[in-house]
Amino acid sequence: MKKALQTYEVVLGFEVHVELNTETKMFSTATNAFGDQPNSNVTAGDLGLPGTLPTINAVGIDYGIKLGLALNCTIAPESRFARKQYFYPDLGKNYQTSQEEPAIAYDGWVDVELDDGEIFRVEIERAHIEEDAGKLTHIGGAGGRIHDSSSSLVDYNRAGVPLVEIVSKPIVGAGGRAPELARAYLSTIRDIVKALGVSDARMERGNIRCDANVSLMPIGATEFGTRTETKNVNSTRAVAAAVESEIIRQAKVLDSGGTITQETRHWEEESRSTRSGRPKSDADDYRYFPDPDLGPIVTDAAWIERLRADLPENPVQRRRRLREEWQFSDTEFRDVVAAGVLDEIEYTITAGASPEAARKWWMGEIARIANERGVSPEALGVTPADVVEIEKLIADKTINDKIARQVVGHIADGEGRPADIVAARSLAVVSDDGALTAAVEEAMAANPDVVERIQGGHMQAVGALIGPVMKATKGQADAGRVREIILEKIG
Amino acid sequence: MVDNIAATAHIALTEEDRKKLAAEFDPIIESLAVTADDQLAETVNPLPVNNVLRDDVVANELTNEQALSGAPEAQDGQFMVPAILDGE
Repeated sequence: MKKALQTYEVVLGFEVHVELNTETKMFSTATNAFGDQPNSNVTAGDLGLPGTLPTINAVGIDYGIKLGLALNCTIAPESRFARKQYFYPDLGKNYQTSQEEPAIAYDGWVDVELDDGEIFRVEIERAHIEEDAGKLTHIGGAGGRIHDSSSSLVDYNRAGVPLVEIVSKPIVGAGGRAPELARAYLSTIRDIVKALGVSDARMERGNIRCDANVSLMPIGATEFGTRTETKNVNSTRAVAAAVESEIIRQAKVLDSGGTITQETRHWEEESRSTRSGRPKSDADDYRYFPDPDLGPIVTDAAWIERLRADLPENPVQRRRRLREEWQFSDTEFRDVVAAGVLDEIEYTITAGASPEAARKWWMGEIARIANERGVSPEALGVTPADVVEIEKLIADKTINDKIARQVVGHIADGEGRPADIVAARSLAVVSDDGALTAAVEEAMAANPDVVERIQGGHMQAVGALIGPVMKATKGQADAGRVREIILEKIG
Repeated sequence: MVDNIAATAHIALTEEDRKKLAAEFDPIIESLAVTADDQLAETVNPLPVNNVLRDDVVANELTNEQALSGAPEAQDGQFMVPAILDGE
């Protein structure tokens, strides 16, 4: 890629589709859910049956406006829905209900934080509300591909699910950081919609899908080169790889005197490259026209301000604030974000733990057990309040660190809250001098050579006596107190 | 224009069809020409009714059997449609 960047300037553009997590579809009252029996979340309207009329989901509009506000957009005083016609069986109506001009939200921007903390501002052209299409399964062909398939099966459960499509303006100047920017932009959008609560934001389920536009122009040129659009790149890692692969491919074509075909391309994970899809021209005629069955959306200040008051803190700003408050190193903080436990650590600190302790548990034992059981840390069943309670039990010497780690495992097994588990399993540290003294005496009797060495001044040999005592008390002895007793005895 | 509409609608026309349709289109276009006035605002809905929204509550769903009852062909609870990229 380095070589390509000596000759060419990269121009990027992204179209990100976000599925909203409303209860019902955008224009029908069918359930909006993933993974149900095919064609069970449908109304007659979703199938395009005659005599049906669409209705507008009020929550879908609110979510669209919220997302627009979070992207610093202007909210359209008046917008409407339009029919976008195309020939494909994934929508029963033969058109997709979408928005032409104006979109519900337009002219915004979003600050994207790159790995080294540098902020790159991406301008947003528009964010419009539309509906998702049904799911096709191609059968009779090789490997489930559309080519050479004999027929296709259609599930309309997803048809009509509310989408917001976020369209960026052309992004110039990212240069060698274009792949990194692509990844950071997509994660930023994901973080924003997650913080807003308007989408489940699970990329592996296609809740967020990204089309990446890439073109190259000779350095110093002002006219953009021909672009390709790589469709449905569905992970932050893949979008970075797709952008990089497309930059290299286009540079090779241009270097050898060729021209770039304006087309859609598909990202292939196995070969880590894009392959040609269908040619696309700006003149694709979708015969947009305003949907006469749906009335205009007219917003006013009161409506917009009510939604604005509800907006959470911008994720990038929030991360900066938390990093400062918690005093984590860049690496520590980055690991916390990558592990997806930022919220949990924040709640734990709010509940009374120190930042260091909160990080230690969420990045340590909780993450380890979660990883072992194949779930995410927040889904393990350990709550921020549990972590605070465990810390308290350690602080007042009821349990030690090792026992505390076992307690985390027991919480994950559903045995209850920390103090209950410690009581039920008799895990409290043994600091009763009588019991400890007996164990120490036993250990000394069994290891006379060690006693001799300690008496000879080899203080580090004390450890060799603590070990058997801990074993005898099943790890529940207060190690500090054991050491004191040994030294008193040998003294 | 006839060619453009035919291409958009995926309809194959013979030369004879084209001539016939072009002749039929002419009077329609002429009669519409009177509305081609920049001073006229676009009208989509005749009534000034805005923000007709509904609550986000599930209703009127079909069962899978009902949904497929009118399908010419179905398989595994899904609509079956002919090959999409036939010949392309």
